Formats: sequence, structure tokens, C-alpha cells
Amino acid sequence: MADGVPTWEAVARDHGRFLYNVAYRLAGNDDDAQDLVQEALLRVRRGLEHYQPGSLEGWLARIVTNVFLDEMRRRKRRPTDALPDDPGRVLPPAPAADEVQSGLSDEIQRALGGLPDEFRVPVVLCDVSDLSYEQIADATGVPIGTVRSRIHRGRRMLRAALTAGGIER
Amino acid sequence: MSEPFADHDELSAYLDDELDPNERAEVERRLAESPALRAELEDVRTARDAMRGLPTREAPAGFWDAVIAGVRDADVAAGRDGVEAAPVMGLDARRRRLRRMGVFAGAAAAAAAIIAVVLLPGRTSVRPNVTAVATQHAASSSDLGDSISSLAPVGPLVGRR
Amino acid sequence: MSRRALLCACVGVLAAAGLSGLFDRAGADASSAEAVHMIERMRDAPSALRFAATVRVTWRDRGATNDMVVHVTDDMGVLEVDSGAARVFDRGTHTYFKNELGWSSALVEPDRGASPSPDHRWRLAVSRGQPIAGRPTQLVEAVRADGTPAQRLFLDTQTGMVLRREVLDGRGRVQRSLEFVDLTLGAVSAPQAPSGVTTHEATALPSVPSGYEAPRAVAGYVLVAQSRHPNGVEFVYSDGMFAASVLEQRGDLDWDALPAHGTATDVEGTRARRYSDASADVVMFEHDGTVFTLVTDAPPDSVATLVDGLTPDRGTAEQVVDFVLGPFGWN
Repeated sequence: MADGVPTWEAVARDHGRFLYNVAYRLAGNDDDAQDLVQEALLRVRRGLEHYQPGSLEGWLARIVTNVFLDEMRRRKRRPTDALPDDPGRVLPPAPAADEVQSGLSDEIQRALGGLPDEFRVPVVLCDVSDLSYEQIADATGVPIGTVRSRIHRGRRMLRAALTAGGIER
Repeated sequence: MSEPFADHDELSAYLDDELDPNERAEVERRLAESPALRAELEDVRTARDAMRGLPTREAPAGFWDAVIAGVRDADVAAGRDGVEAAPVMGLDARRRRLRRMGVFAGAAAAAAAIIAVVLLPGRTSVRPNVTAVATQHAASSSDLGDSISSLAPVGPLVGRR
Repeated sequence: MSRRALLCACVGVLAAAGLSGLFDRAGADASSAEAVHMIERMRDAPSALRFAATVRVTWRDRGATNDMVVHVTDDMGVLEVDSGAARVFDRGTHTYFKNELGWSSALVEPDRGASPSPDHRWRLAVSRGQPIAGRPTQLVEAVRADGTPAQRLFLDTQTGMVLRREVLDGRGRVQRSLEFVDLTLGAVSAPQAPSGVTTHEATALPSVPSGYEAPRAVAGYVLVAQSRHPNGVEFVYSDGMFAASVLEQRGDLDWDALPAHGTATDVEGTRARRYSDASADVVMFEHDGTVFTLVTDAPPDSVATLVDGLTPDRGTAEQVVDFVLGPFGWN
């Protein structure tokens, strides 16, 4: 291993759970998450020679975000592919570690899938990956104020969707 | 879809601990005075808690084997000067295109080539294509800002040549 | 700390400084915060809307104003622009262009650091706008230090989208504009992406590559992205409102091969050629064995300070003044 620069395999091993969870929460199902994670690792592999050690997770967040937005836009123009953000498309999830919550998780994931991509991304990066607004701004390439307003509006939309779906807290 | 300006996004920043102490104090003062603001805070807190309550998932069996194999099999050459790696159009590895050089062929290519580099003895001559650089700029600025403003004016530009 | 983290920190500080204004309802800060919100809404609007529209585009070139009408459809962020002779299709990271010779595409793989807030450099003001395409609007203006507007955005009150945009020079003349003539919101026949298109590929770079120089900040702009093209490197700058691309290529500019519709100018001894087009100004010049192609939708005076900033051994204050007022006559 070169000084301080990990191999892509090491990134997959050490940050795979991070990549998978972001991808899954963005895409809503494992098939699409697999495509996203694979493409992200491909870009990681290409980009590692330029990588400067620093915020690896921030860099990975940016890659996954770009891969997701790119693929979602591509899919919107091919109606024969099921739309990942169509609630009816969400496949039953793989058995989660915490089975007690799995029914509720499905409902939340469904509501999340109903958000427009630009709002879903910052909400996932904030609440699933626990990135700072600054890191999210860096990952999505928008001003930090835009991050803040999209997170807020995304959460309000999510709340409305959860109410409509009958979820009370 | 009517959206009032008064979307109090400082409330989300408050929950995410993204405000400085003065701003926090100000938000708390206003929350104490306004039931409507408190209601908006509770809505957003509910959504935030719901998200943060989602369990960390483990990928299903076979997931990582498939991903690792997919990355290993992909045609990925490390980028060297002027030679680029696999294109990123679409994700379907089964239909992944062969690696392409960033140059063109044919009439469409002549119109679209950003640069034609002509190697003369001892000198490299650069001939930028004005239309092409302007459209390239529009492409990159369209997701930096407002896509309508970036792209609507490109129509007349592209049509001229 | 990486350059990018440092940039994020700076943007964070600027953003935090702007936040305190949100709580001060009296004065310019509140108006600026509202303007920033409205601009964010404008930028998000296309991805949340479906519409079909007719748009008039105008631009000033060598003293005369040109105009053309285009048709625009938007299907939740997938945009198509049809100008009769040409079409533009945009699906976010991929943009396609079609003229009589066929389709080609520009592939952009975004790898940006955080971009500046719209009020990072510009003073913003909100006021009531005039109706555009029969719809009520609010006006957001980006104003120079001397009070003259550089950009005016008439934003639809209902959806937040831009209905009229003007970029103005220092003398109040409209350099470029677009205006919705009519707008129909609602489902559209989905724009179709072309297939089998030859692609111009650019690969995002995480930092300035060796052998190239690019200032991290110049003339109020901040470097937000860089990418490698087949024969050069492109640097993308933003000042929060406008974007500027600088394509750098090693070699000698073949002046004779440039299109004829440009204006020859001289910048303190540096020869330059400028094109004023519908979407942007394009300026070409050489410096230290590198050919620079600057493309920006910013107003003419910003273009001048950018060129000046990119040729650093000419950067003294007196020369900037000479630069703006002297023979470098943009209009």
C-alpha cells in the first residue's frame, strides 16, 4: 500500500457498510444499492491515485452522491425500468439486524423514496451518515445554505408523508 | 406548489447543532414565544428522529462477492495524460462500453470537437472551437446553478454552426 | 488540512456570518437572506416541475442585440431546448447537443467542492416584479458596489422558477436575457435521450493537476472544480451567482483559425479575442505558453477583471483601472 493511500479493496472492507447504507437509503432496494456501490468503488479505484489523505468519508459521500444522482436521472428516461422512487417498487428488505423495527423502517423508507432526489440526498447524508452541513455541501457541490434549506424542506415533506401513511409517533 | 418563504430552516440547523451559541439562544427565544414555530420544530424533529432510528443494515448474502467481482472485472485503466478510463454512462456492467479515447470521428465530431491539436514541427497549435467551449461550459454550469438559465440560451448558439 | 476542507471551512464561516442576518428583520440582511432563499428555490425548481414553454433569448454582440425564440420542456429536471435548427437535452450530468450535423454530448462528472453562497460576492435585493407570461413575479437583483444591477431575476411567485433573467453591463444595457413568453405547467411528453452518441469525456480531478496553475480565488470567484479534457484542463469558478470556466491548454493559439465574429482586443499588451454569444462571453488569450479560453455568463465588467486576474503579472490596481476604462472596449 502506498504511503497513506488505501487500496480500493481496503476502502470496500473498511467503509463498505457506510457505502451500502447510504446507497440503500438513497435507492430503496438492494439491487439498485448493489449497482450504486459497485460504480462508486469503480470511481474510487480510478480516483485513488489522486486522493489526498484527509476526509475519506467525505470523499466517498461525494462519489456515492454523484453516482446516485447520475443513475436516477438516467433511469427517469427509460420507463421500462421501474423507478426506484416508486413506492410500489420497494422490495421486501433483507432481514435487518433489528427485526423489531422492520415494519416501521419499511414505511419510513417508502416515505423517503417519495422525496425528490435533491432533497433525499442531503437528508440521508445528514441523518444516516451523520455528516456535517459543510461536508454535505462539499459532497453535493451546493452552497451550505442550500444544504440547510433542502434538509429542512426534505424533513417537512417526510413528516407529511409519514402522517399520510398513518404513522404516528 | 406554493411554498412560503417562511420555511424556518434554522430549526433544522438547531436540531443538527449547526448554529453558534448566539443563534441557538435566538432560536430558543423565538420558540418560547411562538406555538407555530414549536409545531414546525416538532414536525421536523419527528422526521429527523425517524431517519436516525433507522437501523444500520447489513448487506444481504452474496452482495459483496458480486460487487468486488464486478469492480475487478471492469475495464479500468489508470488515467494517464490525455488517455481516459472507462466512461460513466449507465451502470450496467454487462453492457459496459469499451474504453474510449476522447476524440471524435465523422461530421458530427468535427462540429463538436472542443480542440483540434495540430502538431507542427516544433510547435503545438491550439484551435479552440468557440461553440463547443460555450456548450461545455453550459453543461457544467447547468448543475452548478439554474439549469433553465444555463441551457435555454444554448439553443441559438448550437444552431448557428 | 486539504485545500478542499479549507474551502469548506471558509464557506462555512461565510455562511455562518450570513446566518446572523436571518434573525435581524430590519435592514438589508433580511432582504439578502430572503434573496438567497429565493435563488435556492429557483435552482431547485426545474427538478420538481413539469412544463412546456416558449422562451425568448436575447444577446448583445458588437453593439447590436440579437434575439431568438426557443421551446423548452422540463420533465422533473430533464430539460429539452429546441431552437429549430438545434436541440439541447440535459439530464443532469449528461448534456447533449444536436445541430444539423447530428448529436454530440458533453459528459460532466461533477466532483465539486462546496460552491459559494449567492451573496458571497453580490449584494442582493428583493422587490416586487412585473408580471411575466401573465404570472406574478418577485425580482431579485444582484447589485454592484456602485448600485447598478448586474443581474435581475424575475422569479415566479408560485413555483419559484425564473421567468425572466437579465445580465446587465455597467451602463445599464442588457448584455444577455431570457424571458418566458408563455408557460404551461403540467405533464409533458417526456423528452427522449438520444442513444449511440459520441461523447466528449471529461474526468473530474480532485485537485489542480501538476503542471497547471489555477488561482484558488480570482476576482471574487472561487475555484470549485477541475476536470481533465482530452487536450487540456478545465477549471470551474463560481462567485455564487455566475460561473466561469477556464480551459487551459499548452501550446500556441492559432489566431487565424478562430471564427470571424469575434472582437480583437488588447489587455495591457496581451492580445485577446472575445465573442459575445447567447449563453456566454468567450475570451481567448495566451499567457506563459498556455492558451486560456475563458467562458462565463457574467457581465462584461466581471469578464474584464477575470482576464486580469488570470494574468497575474499584470495585477496592479492602476492596471486594473486602465484595463476597465481604456482601450479594452467591451461594448
